Amino acid sequence: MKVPGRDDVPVIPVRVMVVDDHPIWRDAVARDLAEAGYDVTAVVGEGVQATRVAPAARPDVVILDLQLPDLSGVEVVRRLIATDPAIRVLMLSASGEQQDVLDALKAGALGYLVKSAKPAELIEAVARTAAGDPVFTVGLAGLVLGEYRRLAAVSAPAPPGGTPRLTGRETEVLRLVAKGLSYKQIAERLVVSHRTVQNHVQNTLGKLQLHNRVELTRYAIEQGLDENT
Amino acid sequence: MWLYRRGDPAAAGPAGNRSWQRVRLVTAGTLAASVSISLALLTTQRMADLLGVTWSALARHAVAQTAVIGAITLVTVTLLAALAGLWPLAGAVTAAVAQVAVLAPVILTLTALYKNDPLRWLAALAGAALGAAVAGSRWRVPLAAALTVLAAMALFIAYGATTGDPQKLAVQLIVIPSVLILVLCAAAGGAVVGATAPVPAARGALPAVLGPLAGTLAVGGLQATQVISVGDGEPLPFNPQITSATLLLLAGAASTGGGADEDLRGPLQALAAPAVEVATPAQAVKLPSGIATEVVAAVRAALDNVRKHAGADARAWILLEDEQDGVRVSVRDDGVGFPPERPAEAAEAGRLGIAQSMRGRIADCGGTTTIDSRPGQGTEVEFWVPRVSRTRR
Repeated sequence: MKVPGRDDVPVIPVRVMVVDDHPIWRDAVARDLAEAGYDVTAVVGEGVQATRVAPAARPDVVILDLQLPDLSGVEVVRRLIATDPAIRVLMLSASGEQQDVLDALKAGALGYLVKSAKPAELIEAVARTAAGDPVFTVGLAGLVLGEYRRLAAVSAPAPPGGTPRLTGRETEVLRLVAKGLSYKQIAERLVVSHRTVQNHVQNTLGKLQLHNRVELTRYAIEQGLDENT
Repeated sequence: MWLYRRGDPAAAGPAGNRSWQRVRLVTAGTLAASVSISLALLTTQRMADLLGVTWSALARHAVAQTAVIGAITLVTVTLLAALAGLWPLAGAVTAAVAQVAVLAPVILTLTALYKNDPLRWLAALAGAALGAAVAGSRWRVPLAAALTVLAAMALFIAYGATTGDPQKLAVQLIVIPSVLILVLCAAAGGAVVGATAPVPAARGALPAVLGPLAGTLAVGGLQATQVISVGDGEPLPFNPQITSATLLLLAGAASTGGGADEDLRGPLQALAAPAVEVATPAQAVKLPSGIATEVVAAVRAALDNVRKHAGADARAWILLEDEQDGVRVSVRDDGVGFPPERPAEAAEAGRLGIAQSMRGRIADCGGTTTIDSRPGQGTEVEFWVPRVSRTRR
């Protein structure tokens, strides 16, 4: 699972699963991905089905529509990651119901793309997701930025495990992403490498997901629940 | 707006603090109203009676009269400031001055137009509409000032034309100058109050502003009645006190809604377009609606600027951030930009005017605007407005 260059075809085909309840759309996506050299191992229309198929299909990347008929996007992400923590989820949605997008991201999704994106953008986003590089749209950066601010504002008495906080540089990078600058432009403006910008964005997401897991565990312990999904 | 009074979003929030604030403001407003109404009864003449001084003696000693009125004013102002705070007081004074200044000429001209019934209501409506339009426009401060000057000029000319006896207007039922005065005065009064109201409203001060305003209007109405009944014109077609009281009730209802909070995300997301991307937090970003309106208008102005100057295929990004002590909105474009060291050039291109209008709006809300641009790197405008303590979540 290696992506040598941005637009290059992966050396070992990346295995992709497409989860969407619109047949025409998901088949078009599957075709585009196959043409771009991806190994589309499963195409399903429902969340439960996706979690059932995933262990056999062993996808590297799951392209997940957040509006599924049976399960919420957050729930699907949670279950997929539970079956295989290495699965990388790229969310897609037509109308970004903001809280859903944020919740799914915190549950472990790696990126978000609007459905109005062009096929080339989708292919690139899948390549980046496969490489573990979060795909942040402007809207997603705004949501993540807002979530850190909210966490900082609510938790004056810090909960055990602490509140995730962004470093000054991370905030700076995230704000620039939210203002529509490309990684290249951000790197130029801050006089750092492209890789550094990528790392900062990755960290902002990583801290949020870690915090989410800690919170969930804490909640489960408090409620005297075990990990029965 | 009525909806806000019933299902006030503040009540849903974790804010026993806020409802207490509201109670305090309403109480202050009511007290302030009672104070000014009782003051209306407390004329210098009654004071003279109370002190056992004859009215004529007081009239002879103008200084004593001034001192008495001054003392009353001082006590009232101090009392009001202590009760409601300085912002409500400033708003109340502005509104009251504008209303009282306008009331007498308006009533005079309404009487002059008594025979042309539809015409006078039409003229009064036209004036009110003009005032509202001005108050809502981008250039409301200069326009309100211009209207005030125009109204004053019209009054001055009417005063001269009636050889210093404006009641003649009412007696002679002169139509055209009366319509002009009516429209201008109503518009000027509305524009001044409307242009200044967002400042106290944003600070949650309107109920307290309306209290003293009610009192002043009642007093103004009382005096206007006296002014008119001096001239032996026709009897008054309506009771000014009742009218002003009704108007105030309506204004009070409207402004309580106007003081409610508004989520900035909705109006900003509505600005999204193929070339405009909007990023916001997932939670509501609330500001008092007066301020929210100003911020959205400033963002619109910034986008207009992008459309006009950044180039045909320029894109824009709007970022809304909810900070602890304020709200920040950035508008960035990837257009041609302009050199910051050459503002004269920008002024020539017409950019500075728009920039000034944006700055003005944000400064009205106690906020700041920063504009950053370099040639070839687009322009970034950042608005920051403070969060008022009562809206802190």
